[in-house]
Amino acid sequence: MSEPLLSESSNQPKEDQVLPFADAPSIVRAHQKDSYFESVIRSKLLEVTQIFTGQRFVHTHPEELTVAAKALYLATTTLTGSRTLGEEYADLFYVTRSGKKLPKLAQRIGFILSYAILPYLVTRLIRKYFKRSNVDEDDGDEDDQEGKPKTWSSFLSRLTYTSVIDSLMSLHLAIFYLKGSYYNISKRLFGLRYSFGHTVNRNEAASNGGYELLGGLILAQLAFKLSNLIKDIHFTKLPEPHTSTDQEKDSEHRRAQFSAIPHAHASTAPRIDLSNEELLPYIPSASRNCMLCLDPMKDPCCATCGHIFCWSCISNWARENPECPLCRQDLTEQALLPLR
Amino acid sequence: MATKRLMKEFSLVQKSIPSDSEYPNILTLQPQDTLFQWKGTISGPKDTPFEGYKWGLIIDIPHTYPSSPPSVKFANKICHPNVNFQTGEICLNILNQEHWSPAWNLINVIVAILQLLGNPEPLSPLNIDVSNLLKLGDMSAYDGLIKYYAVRYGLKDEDGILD
Ligand SMILES: [Zn+2]
Ligand SMILES: [Zn+2]
Repeated sequence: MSEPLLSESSNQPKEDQVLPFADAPSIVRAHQKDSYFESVIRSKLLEVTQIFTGQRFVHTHPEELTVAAKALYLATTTLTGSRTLGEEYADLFYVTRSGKKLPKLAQRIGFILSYAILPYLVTRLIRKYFKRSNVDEDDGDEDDQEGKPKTWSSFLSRLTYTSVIDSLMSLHLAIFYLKGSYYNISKRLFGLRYSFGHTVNRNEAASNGGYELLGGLILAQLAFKLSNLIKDIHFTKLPEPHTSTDQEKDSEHRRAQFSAIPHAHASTAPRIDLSNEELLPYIPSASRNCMLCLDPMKDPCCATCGHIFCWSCISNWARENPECPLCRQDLTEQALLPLR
Repeated sequence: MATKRLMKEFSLVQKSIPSDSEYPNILTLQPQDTLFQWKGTISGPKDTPFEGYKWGLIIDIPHTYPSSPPSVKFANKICHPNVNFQTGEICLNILNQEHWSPAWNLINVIVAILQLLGNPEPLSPLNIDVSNLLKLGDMSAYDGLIKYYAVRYGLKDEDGILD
């Protein structure tokens, strides 16, 4: 954050000595650092806001605070042309798609807006839309019709906003793991690629490894989901018939399922699911449920304090709140130990 | 994650409320139109000036639950040092993002509110008048004022249960 890139002309890689594109593990490392600093800024911001507006505001606007923290962090780093702390840590800097130029200011602004603010706005809009279609249903349900073709329209009505976004995110992540170019969709859109700030020798490349296997797993999971969806449509009857115009009303039933746009995160099928009693038999039955999702743990992992949670549950929490939910001891995502 | 977890909590609540003797003061607790809006009824704990009266609670759950805490406020007016008399807003540290833990559930939150009724915290008041009485140690006036408002605004048994 503190060390600005040299002026564009002197730092611009020359055509004959282009620096190598960054690999997936380094990008993930930089991203994790940045999320951590975003959460630090968020909690500082929360303290300050609390002083000026009182608890109530802080309480009712958690999402706004997150957006503000993200925007603030990127505005003081990427926007001004300096690197974020995570990028410094992994020695990465932004280049254009070709890797031969530094991205322009407009590209960086576009990225910051679409990364920090757009998901929030879209979430708000969709939520409002759901509320409205809710009210519509209250005044009249006499136009419920029966026996409609349940192929294409029912297929559409099953695609909730969240599940579509979720699948798109997973697909994007899989592509990232396989090709290692863009970790965020926003970065892909605006063509912000990472290059290493140094040349990479073979040892370093080998020790970093790759995420191709993960990418393959995600693709397999997506294919599985899709085949399930298709099966569902063919073999189960919907509780109520739907027409395509009824889709809006259907959203009412889905409102409960609705949640904010997820940020890109790994969502592979669990490798260890404690609902299978043969796995990790030394964990007594009373403690096989995760205290966060209340389900049998999936991919259990142990914090430094000894408390165990699902990997996805605790890593989501730790990214924003670096402390154990049970005993409040310090806890970082990096220090989590997977049990196997 | 929020929906799945709230479904689990709902079945937990159905098992333990109101039959479970562990939570004698939680009379009702149920989701409304969606799993993200709940209502509850509590009765004043024994040996507190709130005993014998009931209050409704309105619980709004953010879509980021359980990473973020639910927001809870009283539905009818209650006189308590840490509750805003006009809005029903509650000053309770675990309802604050800073002190919230995703390991808590809705029942834990309501138990904490019940504890707050018996153990007010005069140092973070939302109702200055009654918390001054507590600071001065004028317990008879403190109890008296609370009872007065409990009679006036609390739900009595014949009012039935707030739904
Ligand atoms: Zn879990
Ligand atoms: Zn712990």
